[in-house]
Amino acid sequence: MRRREFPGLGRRHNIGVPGWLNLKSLRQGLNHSYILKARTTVRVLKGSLKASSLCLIILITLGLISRYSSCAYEGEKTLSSISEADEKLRQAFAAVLKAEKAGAAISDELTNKLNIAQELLTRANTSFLVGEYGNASLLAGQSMNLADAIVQDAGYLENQAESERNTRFIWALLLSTVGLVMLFVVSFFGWKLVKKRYSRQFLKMKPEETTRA
Amino acid sequence: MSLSDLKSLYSASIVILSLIILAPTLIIVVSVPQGEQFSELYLLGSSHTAESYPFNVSQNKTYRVYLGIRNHIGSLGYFKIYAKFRNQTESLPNSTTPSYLPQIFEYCVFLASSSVYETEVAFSFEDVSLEGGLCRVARFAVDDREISVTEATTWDQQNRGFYFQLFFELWIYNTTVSQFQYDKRFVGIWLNVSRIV
Repeated sequence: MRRREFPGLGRRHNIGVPGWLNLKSLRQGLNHSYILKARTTVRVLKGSLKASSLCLIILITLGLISRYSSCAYEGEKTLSSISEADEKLRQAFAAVLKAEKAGAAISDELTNKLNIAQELLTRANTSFLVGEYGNASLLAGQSMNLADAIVQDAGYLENQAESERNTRFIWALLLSTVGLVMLFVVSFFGWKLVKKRYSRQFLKMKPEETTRA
Repeated sequence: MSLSDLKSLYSASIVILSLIILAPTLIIVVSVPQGEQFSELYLLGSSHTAESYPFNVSQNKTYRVYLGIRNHIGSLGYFKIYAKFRNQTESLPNSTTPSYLPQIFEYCVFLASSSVYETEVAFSFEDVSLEGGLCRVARFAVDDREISVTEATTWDQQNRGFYFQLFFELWIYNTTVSQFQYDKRFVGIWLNVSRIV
């Protein structure tokens, strides 16, 4: 290492300068600093580019994940509504069967309604299988609404049938009771009459002689 | 006739008359046993009779059969028909257990007592191939719906053909257990697909 004097600076203040730092090298250094700056800028740019592409990748990944999860969520939701519609249809069938057993006359209209609800459910299932979740949910919802209406109709028919059955039973019981009372009264007096007639006929009978051998 | 005999006769006639008077009330309370309860599953050919069933089938050609159910169970019924496809070695359902094979499609119907449901089943073979003496069916179409199947059969030397069976099982919904149960009925047709290859 060499020592070099700088104007305004005493010997005492001579500072140890590395050999490469002369004017030329200063100029070069200046250029170097520009290069360094440019390099730094490039590095920063590169870094930011890397960061932004990383961010982009993350965003795309997040977007895909969110889309996938939203699809999965939508699919799950649709499947759940289809299951619910299926359950409601079974409940509707059970309600109609109960009404029929209670004595209600199940009209063709109610059976047709059940078949329409079933058809909607089948179409909902088909739409779900091809990925049309919105349509599937809509169809399942329609099926559910129809099933609810069927349950209400069946309930009304069941109540009506039970009420009619009770009325019929009360009338039948009343008429039977009156009929039985009349029968017993008539039979009581009738028996007296029959018995009297029998006694009279018995008394009118003449003893017959039997010849002995 | 003695008086006691007359009394017995009189009492018997009173009992009979009482039962006649009580009959309308008893009918409401006591349920009258119904006749035999059963369901019916049938398959008819293309001419809507029990003949002219498809047998020798070709690829991409549509064949028709008629499938029907009659409800004699005495009440409304919720029926399902599972259509299944098998080769000669796979199991067929019997009078108690259904086939273990998965259904390729199904029909669901609510059927009122003493009524009939009938539907046309139009089917075709879409993707059939012959590889090393094995006939494979990869796609099957029913009522314009394509269904992927993986069935294969070997050449039947005795009957000279590649035989598959399309069969239908009847299932009925049981409200007591809240699920469909095999109704112990099935119908099917044999199909020889040797004309495809």
